[in-house]
Amino acid sequence: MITDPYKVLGISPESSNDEIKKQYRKLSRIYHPDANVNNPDKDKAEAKFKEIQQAYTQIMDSRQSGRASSNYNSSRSFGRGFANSRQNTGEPLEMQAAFNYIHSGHFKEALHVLSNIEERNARWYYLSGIANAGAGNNILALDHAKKAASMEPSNMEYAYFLEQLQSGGQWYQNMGQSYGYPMSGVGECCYKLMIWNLFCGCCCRPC
Amino acid sequence: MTFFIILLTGLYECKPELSMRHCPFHPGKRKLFLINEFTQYAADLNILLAYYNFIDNWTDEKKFSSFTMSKFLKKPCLQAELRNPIQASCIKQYIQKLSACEQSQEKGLDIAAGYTGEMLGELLSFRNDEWSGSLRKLGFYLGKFIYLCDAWEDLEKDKKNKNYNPLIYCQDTLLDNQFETILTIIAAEFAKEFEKLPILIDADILRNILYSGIWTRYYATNQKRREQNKKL
Repeated sequence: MITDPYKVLGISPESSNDEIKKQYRKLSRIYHPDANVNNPDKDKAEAKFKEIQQAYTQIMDSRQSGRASSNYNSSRSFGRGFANSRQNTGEPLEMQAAFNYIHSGHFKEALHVLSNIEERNARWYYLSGIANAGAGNNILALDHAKKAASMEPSNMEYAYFLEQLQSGGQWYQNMGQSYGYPMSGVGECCYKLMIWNLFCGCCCRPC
Repeated sequence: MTFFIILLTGLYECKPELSMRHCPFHPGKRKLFLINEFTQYAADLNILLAYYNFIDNWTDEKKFSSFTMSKFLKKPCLQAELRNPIQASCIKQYIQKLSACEQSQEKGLDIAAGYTGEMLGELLSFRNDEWSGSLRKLGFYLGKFIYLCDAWEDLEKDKKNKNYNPLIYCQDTLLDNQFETILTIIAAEFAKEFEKLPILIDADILRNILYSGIWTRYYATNQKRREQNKKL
């Protein structure tokens, strides 16, 4: 983790995302290995490029994590809810194992352990929701998060997790308003059907 | 696949070469072509997807039209395979997984849609570089979204013809706008990955697609169903 990624890029923390991207592009053209093939200091240039890359990724990830969503690989992105969640040492060993797998980001292993547990209580649905979200199974994650919250309505941890899963959608709708989301009128249909055709061929379901 | 070209060209800032050529489908005047590494890559993927899909249709349903088209595409497919062996293998496996999914009447939406997502994620992240992680996730969620929208559009026809459609098993999911909520959550994932990429060229075109255009067929399907319900 870089202590001050903005300093590495030579940019202010108040910069917009586009300004950060422009600055990244400018530095990457200078230090990218492909631009330094004949440079006697190419090892230093490559090290600098890696630092720039890491700084850029760190900034964009930290700005993204301010918007709650189901991160593909990290349980930390479920924020205060799961990160601060403590293991319930009174619960069955398999549930504790699932908790540990989730905490370390091993979601498929967590799902495997959970599938062998017969008792499906609210805690089971909560852990299953997080593991499924981490494994990219958003639909099942949402379903299990709702079940956990409905089985224990007063549990703030479960309510917060459900809210986090749904809040990504709210962020998307807010972003999309500048680009015509939701579709505002039949008149835009033709233009947008042309855009949909840009994806033709991506799916092998019979058309 | 045109989306692939715009996205990858924007990410890698690969300048296209301009040339005037004859288009086989518009043989009159020569047309302006923009060609770069990614137009060739997308063209190869189109051929591979089409070829293996025709082979699958001929194998499973004995569609003679698919058999004929597969013969027409065989030579270009072999050339595309030589240039992209990993992608060719990925597409073959995808078609096999979809076919198995259909055979077993898979009820899980995440599983059924996930195959398209995994495939698109692999095709987008082909360079295995510093952007592969984001491209794979973007492709994964985009693939799921496209599959689910297609399934939504085909739902009535598939019920009538007894074709496989995982949405048939998820009637609860389709109630009270829950399906749209699910699509929005998936869309948020690919949009989030897109916003992490340092794309400046044609960024607004890509945002128009990812935040608005991608919903076209979903809303067109809903409108068509509302009009049909009014007539009844």
